[in-house]
Amino acid sequence: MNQTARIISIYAADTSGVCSALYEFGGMTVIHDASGCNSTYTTHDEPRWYDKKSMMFISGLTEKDAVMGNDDKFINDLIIAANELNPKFIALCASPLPAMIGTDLEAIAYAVENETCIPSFSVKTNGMNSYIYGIQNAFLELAKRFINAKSSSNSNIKSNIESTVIFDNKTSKIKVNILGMTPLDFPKKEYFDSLKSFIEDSGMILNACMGMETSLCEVENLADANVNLIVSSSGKPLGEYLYDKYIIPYVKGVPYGIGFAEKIKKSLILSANKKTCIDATKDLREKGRVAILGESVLSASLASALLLDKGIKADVLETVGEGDFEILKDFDISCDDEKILEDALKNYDTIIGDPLFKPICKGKNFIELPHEAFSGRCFTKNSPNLINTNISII
Amino acid sequence: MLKSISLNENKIPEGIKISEINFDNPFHDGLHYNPPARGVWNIVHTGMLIPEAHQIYVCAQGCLRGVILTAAEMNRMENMSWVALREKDMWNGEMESRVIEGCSHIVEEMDEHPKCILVYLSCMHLFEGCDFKVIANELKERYPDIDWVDCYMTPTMRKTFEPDVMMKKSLYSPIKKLDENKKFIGLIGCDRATDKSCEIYTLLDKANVKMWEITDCKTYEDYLSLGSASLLISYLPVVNYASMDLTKRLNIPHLPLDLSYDDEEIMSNLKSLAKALDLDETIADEITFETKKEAWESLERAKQTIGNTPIAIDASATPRPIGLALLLVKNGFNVSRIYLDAFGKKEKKAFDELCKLKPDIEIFPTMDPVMLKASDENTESEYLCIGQKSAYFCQSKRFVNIIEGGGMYGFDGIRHLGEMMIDAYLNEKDLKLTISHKGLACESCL
Repeated sequence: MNQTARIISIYAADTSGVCSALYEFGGMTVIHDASGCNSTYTTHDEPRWYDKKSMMFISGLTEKDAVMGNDDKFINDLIIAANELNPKFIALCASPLPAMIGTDLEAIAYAVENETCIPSFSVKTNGMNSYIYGIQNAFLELAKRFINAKSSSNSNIKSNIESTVIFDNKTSKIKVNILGMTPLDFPKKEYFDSLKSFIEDSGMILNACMGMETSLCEVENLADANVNLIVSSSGKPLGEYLYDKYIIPYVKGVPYGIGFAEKIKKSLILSANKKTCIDATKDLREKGRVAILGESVLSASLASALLLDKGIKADVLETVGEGDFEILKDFDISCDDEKILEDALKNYDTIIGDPLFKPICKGKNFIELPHEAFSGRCFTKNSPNLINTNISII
Repeated sequence: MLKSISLNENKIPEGIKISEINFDNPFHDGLHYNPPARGVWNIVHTGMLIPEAHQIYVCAQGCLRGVILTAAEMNRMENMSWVALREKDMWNGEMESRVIEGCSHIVEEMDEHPKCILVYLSCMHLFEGCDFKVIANELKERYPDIDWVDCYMTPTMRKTFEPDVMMKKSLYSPIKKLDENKKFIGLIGCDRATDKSCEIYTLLDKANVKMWEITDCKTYEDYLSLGSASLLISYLPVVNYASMDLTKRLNIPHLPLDLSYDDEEIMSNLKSLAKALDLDETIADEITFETKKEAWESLERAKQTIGNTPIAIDASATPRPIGLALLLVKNGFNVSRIYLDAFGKKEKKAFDELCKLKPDIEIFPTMDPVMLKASDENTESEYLCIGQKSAYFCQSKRFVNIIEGGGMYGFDGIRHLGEMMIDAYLNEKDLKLTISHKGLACESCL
């Protein structure tokens, strides 16, 4: 039955996605929520919480304030905290109850900004969507608010369109933004380090990362890049926005393995030169007896890498229920229902997925690939780094 | 008046002196911060105490995430299922059928029916005016072999009914009246086992009475045997609502024996229990003659070891942090900080006394946003802490790792606590690793 699971886990929600996306930019992010969203996020969805401080709070909504529509309390509490902590911006998002009673977070953000002179905005959530939805909206709102006016001037856009510079990585280096990188998909800092090394070793420059090992300055400089590397569905709307508004093209894919990493490198150069958006997985997929469960861009990238490096044909079973469906092939499946997924898995010999999928993969060769957005911190320590290296899990 | 703590020039939160704080409304209740101390149990941990039971949560994805992963970390996913509410469920008038059909589907997917299923409904159901009775009746009719228990994950209601209080009521709701056993009583409200060496057990031995504790139950039948108890006792405040319900439904009297660090209150409680067990009240004096002496000796040894080291206490360690602070101050310890967000009503007497004895003890709230700045992971402090939150805020590796009193009771409990303080002082713990473990004493995959 739809929306029901007997034994498997559930993906992180949009509210956690917002917090995860905005964690490193010096702002204050507040979930309008009674209790629970904060501890869930900081326990299970945020591996940085203990070692790297960030202003992540909840409003502490009560029954009385919800029934009476007492938004003034929330506004006052935001102002008190902001005056004490002096964040660079204030972001608000809603858990299910404020969404249900129709709390106008946009108006609250407006009121808070008027009072504090701190840039404030709301990010669309309702606690009923996946983390991807939250991250996408958070990155978009942040970028719209903070991309440097100078970079985004008409002359800059025009120069992007008319650019005849040929990027050869020798005389002229390509500046790359990484879009869609949060610990929910990339839980360890070493993933960022590997991606950065991959870009630099390819003769390119990392211009900005959304959003690990980063800062608000990088958001301001987003439009200075020549190409975006979208490493998860979470970065796709921002990539499309940057293309539409600043003519910065994007390449979709995570440089897993050796062959596929090389393919992404070439795609980045091509994309930067031709100003075209490229799905790096496009011609690298064939139907097989191996199923990869998880987020669509990461899974399609792994499938492509397996084909190139090991000749293994793998299908993607997109299990979040949200994300980039365009990257999927006809033989791939999008399914967030446990029962349907269990039935679909009967067609495969080998399953690659998060260990919490294992109970519905009985009798199959199961290869564990932990995904923070699904199993939280349960298996983080076993999470392998597959970026620009030999894939040894299979 | 309400106090709002603020940052000092070095951007560190400044505590408020206990003598300057309002007992009834100590702090402004604004935005909430969540420190990374995970030992305190939640409703999932508590629900898992019922042997052979299953839990189903029906709520939004954001709410499901925390409870499902609690079970995952406990390696108990086989006892956990969920039904996710989507936006359309808020408007289509099918909230009840979503619960009924979702739970039915889950039951149909099981190889064997569990003996008991806890169904957790959420704030969304509450605000929709969802008909809980319709749900319960329909599920009972469809699956009469299962005890269906309605549970609530409604944190919006926390000012009137805390989720823990509601959970404790649900925890005992499958219990039905059985033939009374005069030599059998029940201890309710404790998630963790109570020390068998404490005076409660000594009195029970004297009266030849056995005690039911949920942590001892291996089967569902063990659990249901509480229905034959002749008396219910409790010592944690969170159980009051549950005890009222049990007393009303099963007609079993309830005797509260509040956890205390006060000599007189402990003696009074033990005498009440002796009387309820048909023992001579003087027996309480007899059995505490040695334990009381041992308690003070243990504290004396702790004092000799710990010396004038500053001590911090937090409310996750015990429901009576002020009473504990008073006990320690009276015995010469240097209690400097207490971390809590509100004072328990029964702490007023200890609070007044502590204000006079040591008015400069600093009180810190744990949830105030500025507490984000309270800990500096690069600097270890000299504090000896009692409780995980105080250990985190003080960044101390020397801490007594307990929640909700740690199963320690009476003078025996004080003796045990003194020993734990010595051990904490002498043997440093890995702070991050220890407090990251969700649900103290529960199994963990981490």
